[in-house]
Amino acid sequence: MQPAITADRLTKTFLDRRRGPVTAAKEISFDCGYGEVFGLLGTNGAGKTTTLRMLSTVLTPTSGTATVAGHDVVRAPLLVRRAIGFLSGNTGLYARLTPRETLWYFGRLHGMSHERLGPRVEQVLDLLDLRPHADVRCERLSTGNRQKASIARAIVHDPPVLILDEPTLGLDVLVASAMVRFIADCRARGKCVIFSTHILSEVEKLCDRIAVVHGGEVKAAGTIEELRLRTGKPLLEEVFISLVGG
Amino acid sequence: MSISLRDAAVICAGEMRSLLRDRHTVVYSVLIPVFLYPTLFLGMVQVVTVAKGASERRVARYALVGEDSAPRLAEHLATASIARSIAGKNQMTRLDPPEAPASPGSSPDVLLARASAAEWIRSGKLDAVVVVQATEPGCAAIEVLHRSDRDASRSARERLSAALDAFREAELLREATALGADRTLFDLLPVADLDLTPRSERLRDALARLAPLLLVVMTALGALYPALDSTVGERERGTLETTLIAPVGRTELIVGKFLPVMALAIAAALLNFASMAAALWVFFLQAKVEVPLAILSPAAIITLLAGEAILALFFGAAMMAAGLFARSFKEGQSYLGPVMLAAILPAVAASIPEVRLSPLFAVVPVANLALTLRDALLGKLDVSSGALAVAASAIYSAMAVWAASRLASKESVLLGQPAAESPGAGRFGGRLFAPFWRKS
Repeated sequence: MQPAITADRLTKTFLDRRRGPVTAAKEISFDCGYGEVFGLLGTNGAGKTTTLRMLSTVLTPTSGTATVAGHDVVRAPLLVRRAIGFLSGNTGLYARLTPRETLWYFGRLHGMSHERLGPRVEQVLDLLDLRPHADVRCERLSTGNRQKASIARAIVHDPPVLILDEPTLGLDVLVASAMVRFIADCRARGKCVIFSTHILSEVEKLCDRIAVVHGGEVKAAGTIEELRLRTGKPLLEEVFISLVGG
Repeated sequence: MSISLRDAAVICAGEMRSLLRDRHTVVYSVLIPVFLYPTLFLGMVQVVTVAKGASERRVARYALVGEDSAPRLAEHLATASIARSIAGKNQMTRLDPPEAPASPGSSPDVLLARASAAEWIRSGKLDAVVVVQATEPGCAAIEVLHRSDRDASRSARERLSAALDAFREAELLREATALGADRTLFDLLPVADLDLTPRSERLRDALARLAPLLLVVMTALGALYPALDSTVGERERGTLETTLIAPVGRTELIVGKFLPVMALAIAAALLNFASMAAALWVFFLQAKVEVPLAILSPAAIITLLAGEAILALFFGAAMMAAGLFARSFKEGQSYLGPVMLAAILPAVAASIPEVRLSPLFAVVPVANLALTLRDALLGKLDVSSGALAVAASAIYSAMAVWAASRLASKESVLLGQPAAESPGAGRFGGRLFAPFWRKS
């Protein structure tokens, strides 16, 4: 079966006026299948977000290629966007719209008909326990409910691939735990989930495979067990530190 | 280039809903134009009226020096003072000069008093001084000494001048009667000033000079906040990124964002125009000035609306393009301030009668539309020049929309990040031109 995501030597270079060319991601390669949770593990500024943005077509790779759901991210960006649900680090919700309006807005942008979208919106609101807050403007929601609304926005069109950038950042224990359950549930339903994080416990709980990213490069990729064997360290924290050279 | 109208419509509806729920947008684009400016206008009229009333109630203090040379003058001024006292406004009272000349009437004393008058007026003891000097037997020259930098002195001069004009007229009539001649014999080449312009046309002329400038200013102000909110505001809030990940083309995205900006700019301008018209109506009613109802013909109104739509098209697109350059809302405001000024200044051309809608002016942005609107309101529009002006404006607007959609396809502009592999990134010029020299 074709992988849901393939990244082949993805590179992104920015030109900074003061620092000159800055390579945020350098020859990143990995793949991820359906029904799999793949983690990009790295410190702040490691290149995780840049990689996810290239996969979601927000950024164009400087070199290298990537496909998502079988579509090339450069040559067929619209088809890639139809196939993904993207959760950005800052939720990216329209503050003055309600969660229900947000779902309708993005559902319509994904080409869903009224007939299909109506029941789907209600289903997603129930799935994320958002119904009591469905008609409250997003700016008035708590951080946890904003994150739920953001997830709802990302999955309203039921995409086969989910790209989540730091999905539990800033969440309290209960909401973070719900998020972890949600990701596990997506895997059970055969979706491909790739997410970035620097929280090791989440990685251990969720990820089938991980890539440790540091300084814009993939330092190692594989299952957690494979990485333990490779580094000879029993704890994931020690594995991570030995790989990034801390 | 094909465009999905459905996607643009979805974005437009979402943007409009979001903008209309934004308190700042509603305040700056609707409430201030509708309420604040007309209130300020009426308030200023009220202040001027009150100040004028206070000035009229003030009694002007004057002195008469050298009255022996014009014996009937003192009596005439006294009569005029009594008449003004009865009327209850523009009163004046005669005071003795603080330092009376030793021998009144003699020329050296008059000169002395004249020299002292400035000091009397400066010290506030008097507002004006009437100096009469005999030039030859039976003839005298009259001067009204005053200071134009002081309201009270200026007002006193006006009252005295009016009284002196009346005195001169009375003297001429008296002389004519004594000679048994017609009074009009004394008027050499009498000139009568007769304005044949009906009141409605005078009002239309004033409106034609003022309306284009008002529309330009209000359209630009109306577009400013929504344009910033839907570009750099969205980038700051992170919503631009999430919208970009939806399967929507950049052109649809920009068109969908642009239409609400344009609609709000039109709404702001027309609401302001209507409320200013209402304020003027109130002003005319208070001033008991009759205003003809049909100042504008239906054709002029249609031209006005069409011109406003093109103005909104231009300003909306230009401001969105400028807003996309900004890294922050604050930076956007600093960009659009000069843009607004540069856009509004050409509109002043419409208030200068000598500036015609020539082929050259027909291609000057903003000035061309302002002049077209003015000439259309006056019913003097040259169709070929007007068509050229509209075509030029449409082209500029299309260019601005195109530039905005090009910018929207650039990740450096959309995400506010350093541009990838582009020279001059980060600088305004670099960001302005980078989208056009780099590959898509």
